[in-house]
Amino acid sequence: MSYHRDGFTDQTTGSNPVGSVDFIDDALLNAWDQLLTVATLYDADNMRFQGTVSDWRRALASIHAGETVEIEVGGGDRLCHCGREHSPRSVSRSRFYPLLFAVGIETLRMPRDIDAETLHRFLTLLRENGKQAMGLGGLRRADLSDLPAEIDLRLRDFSRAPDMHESGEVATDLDPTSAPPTRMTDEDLERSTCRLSAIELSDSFVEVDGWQAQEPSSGDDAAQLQSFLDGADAPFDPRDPDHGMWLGFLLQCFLVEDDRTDPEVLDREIARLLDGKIDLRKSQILLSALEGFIVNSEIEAVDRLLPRLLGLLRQDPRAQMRVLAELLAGVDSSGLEKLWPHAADLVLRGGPELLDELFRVGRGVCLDLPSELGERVLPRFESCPSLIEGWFEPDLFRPLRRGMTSICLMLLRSVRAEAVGNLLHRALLDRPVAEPHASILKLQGGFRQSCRDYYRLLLEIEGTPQLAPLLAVEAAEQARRELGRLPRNERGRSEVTQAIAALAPASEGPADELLDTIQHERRKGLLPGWPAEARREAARVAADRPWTMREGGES
Amino acid sequence: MNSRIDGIIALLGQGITHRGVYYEEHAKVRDCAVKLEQRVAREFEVAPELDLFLGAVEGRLIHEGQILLGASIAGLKITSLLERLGSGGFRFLKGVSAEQIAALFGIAVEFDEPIEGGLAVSRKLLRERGIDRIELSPRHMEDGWFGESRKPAEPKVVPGELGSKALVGVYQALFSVVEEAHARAHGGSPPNLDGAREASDRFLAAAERGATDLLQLVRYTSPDSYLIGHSVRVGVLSMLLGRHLGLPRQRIVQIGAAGLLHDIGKSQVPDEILFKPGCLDPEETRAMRVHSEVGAKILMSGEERDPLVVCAAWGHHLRHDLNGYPKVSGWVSQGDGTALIQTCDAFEALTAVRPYKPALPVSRAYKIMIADVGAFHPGALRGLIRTLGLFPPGGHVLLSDGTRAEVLGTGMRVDRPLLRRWGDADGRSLPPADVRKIDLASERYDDLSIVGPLSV
Repeated sequence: MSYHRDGFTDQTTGSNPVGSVDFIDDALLNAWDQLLTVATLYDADNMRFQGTVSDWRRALASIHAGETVEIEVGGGDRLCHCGREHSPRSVSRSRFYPLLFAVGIETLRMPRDIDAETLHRFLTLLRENGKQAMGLGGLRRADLSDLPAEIDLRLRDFSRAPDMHESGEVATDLDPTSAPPTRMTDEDLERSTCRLSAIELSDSFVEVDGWQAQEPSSGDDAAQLQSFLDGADAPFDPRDPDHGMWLGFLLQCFLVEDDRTDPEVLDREIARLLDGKIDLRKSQILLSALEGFIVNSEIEAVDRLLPRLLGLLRQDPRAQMRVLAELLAGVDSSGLEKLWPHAADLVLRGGPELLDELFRVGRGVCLDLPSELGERVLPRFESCPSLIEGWFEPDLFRPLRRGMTSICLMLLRSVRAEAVGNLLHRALLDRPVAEPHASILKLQGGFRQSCRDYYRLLLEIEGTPQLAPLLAVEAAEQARRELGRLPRNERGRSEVTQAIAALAPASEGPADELLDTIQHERRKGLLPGWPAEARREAARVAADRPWTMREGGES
Repeated sequence: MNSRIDGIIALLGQGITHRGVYYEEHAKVRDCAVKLEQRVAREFEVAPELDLFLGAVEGRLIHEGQILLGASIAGLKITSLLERLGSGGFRFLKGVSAEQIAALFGIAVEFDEPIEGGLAVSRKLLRERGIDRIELSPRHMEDGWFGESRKPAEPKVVPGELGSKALVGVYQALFSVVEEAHARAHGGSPPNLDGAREASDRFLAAAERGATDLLQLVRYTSPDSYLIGHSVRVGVLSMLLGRHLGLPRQRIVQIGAAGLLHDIGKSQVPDEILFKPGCLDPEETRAMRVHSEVGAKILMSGEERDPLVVCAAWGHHLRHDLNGYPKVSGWVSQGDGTALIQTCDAFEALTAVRPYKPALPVSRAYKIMIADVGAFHPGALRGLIRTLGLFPPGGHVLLSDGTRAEVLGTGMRVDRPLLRRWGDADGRSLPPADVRKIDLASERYDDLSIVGPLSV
């Protein structure tokens, strides 16, 4: 084999003599590295090693079909397999190349079907020689007397600089007998470590083989360090307790539900950390953690963990509401679906002061729930503690706050409709609602299941005026029912007239019968059953009914 | 021979520690006993006439007339056992078996008070337990002390307080805390936080008295012991940095405890990965990388949880830019205390020998760390460099005029520390009257420079 490496590219032109400019991919180089690693751990007959040899053969087959494997080693991170060159960048990161280079191998030949045991022996030999050589500055002639016969290699002439042919850049005073080992070591150490991160180096994820550590004390090093030291310091104060990181750690454990940490311990530590005033930093961490969790987690996980975590904020209810308001404002529709039942539950259990705080920071609209989500959210809402308990603080609904609409609507749809309906009844009267609704509500005297839609419309009308026609029809139906069952002795109540007026948009049929009854009913065959005012209003409404007018017109 | 005796000491210490946690037949205990049997057998193969005597003098281990400072630090278990046995050392005879060694581990655990009747009763006890290939020596200065033929020598250098009994005690306590914490963690129990804080406090008290050679005293007794030695050095480095930054004492003690326990998760990593003499494959890397999370969980399982101690264990492989591992959510930030320990951890690992890599020079470590932008908090890294300089305190250097000196502290420039010149050009100690303190940064010494460090 010639000393001239035919496979190497010309560094100045980027091409090589055979015209190939593409470097081969890293699979083969990685396979060599893997072989080296596994060979240090396992014997040749170990399945793991055998498997690695198979991987190596496959990688080899992908670049070369001949019977002999030829490797050429150059300086400056240059390596060829069977005439094809690896990228210097990949070579510089490999573990295989520094060993070959340190041992002084220039060319290496072996049969492609070399058996695993021989390959193992060679790798062990290479490794041992590599360590010794590198320990002596990379310029020690290797002791390869045990080299398997199947392997043929040519060593570099140590009287010349390594790879003088290719680069001509390396100093010529590198004879191992005269060159100070430290000088070579420093250079090669620089080369072998400069592309690695400190963290990687400090861990066992990369290997720097056998370098003897000699301490340089050059002025350059000192100047570089001094220059770094003279730079502006980022704020650094390890005096401060690491509460931010501690909270981050606790929350991460909490939210991934790591089974190695006792949930009670986590609850206790988080609660302790959040005890008292929650500063801005903690709020930010909490908020970010919760937002990410809500957006990225399944509903089941949210239902399991969110109430627990929000509950840990009890010590600072205002912060609790601040976080809640920001969360409600920050999540998308999908997040809102996950969050809303728990937010509503917290509000229902929190009392009016906290509700006002929430609306203050959330600008009053934060609890709004798009109607299309209602159906899906309802079962989860019904599973919340406040609904299971079924008792609600009346002052939450008095006055009836604009921001409470969604909660009220969902409550009306829930199993707790009756409990909240009675509170809403009073709240709507307090608001007050416009006529004829106030009168109808007064006639009703309280909530009935049949009023759900009416209440819903009464709550929604404020934000959605286009619901007015529907509300009028529903009010007519409610008025008809109330008037129909109104005891005789209450027919003189002031609300009756308004209720009769509300019948105007009712559909044809029962409402007309009622209007007729009001006008013509006779007590004991003589006395009118309804007060005169009611009869007059009924006559007016009846006259305005389209079909009545039509009949009148025809007659 | 010293590195080999260090290995024997490490195994003996580990065996006693493991036996304190596990039952007699546990694999960890057996493993130590078998390895020790093999090591001793190997020594006799090489030198059949060997006198394999490991002595103890005032709490320090000695072998072949040399005080083993590093080993003494790791060998607290051994010296205290000898103390209880009323003995001045063990002599291992050819043919000592793993069973006999395991029986000795058992005695170490069983008898936690001095044995009444002293050496004679202890010798009888060993015989009763079938231990006939380990002999007990009378104490140092008593008749028949086995080490009589080779008197213990003081260390060759004259390094201030180096080797003083008090200081060795400080380091033994640090080693002991870490070793015990790892053994407990391996058995599923959390470490003793108070113990870690007490040991840190003792160290700090010593540092406050000006014992700057402390860091040099800690060295790994064998590749197998790097795990403990690394943690001790990180704890010590962190405390020195904390002192340099002027932190309150309580905080420095907390940082020290966090440094000592930061790698406790490695107690759950298989030895074949921990001590693998090469780089890890992807599977092994994954197994190794869980140690930070496992460590934090171990520390969370105790009665008391110290936020910094947990965060340091969890986040010491987390880069300042939050890359690294474990994977953390975007809202997690690196605390400054953890940043301090992370920086010291990486520096220590770079500058120390590991089974998979040699030690890098201090200057090279700094360069790598500076070049790895985003890996370290710049404030922490600057603090570390200012604390240690190019020639860390406690080290020894060769000066351009051929004389030798000990580094007492960092100076105005990273390459020109405060020194105490103690040796002439031939390495001989100077007479006390000629020992001088030198501030290399002062103009007076412009002509003098450091050629390089000396190994102690």
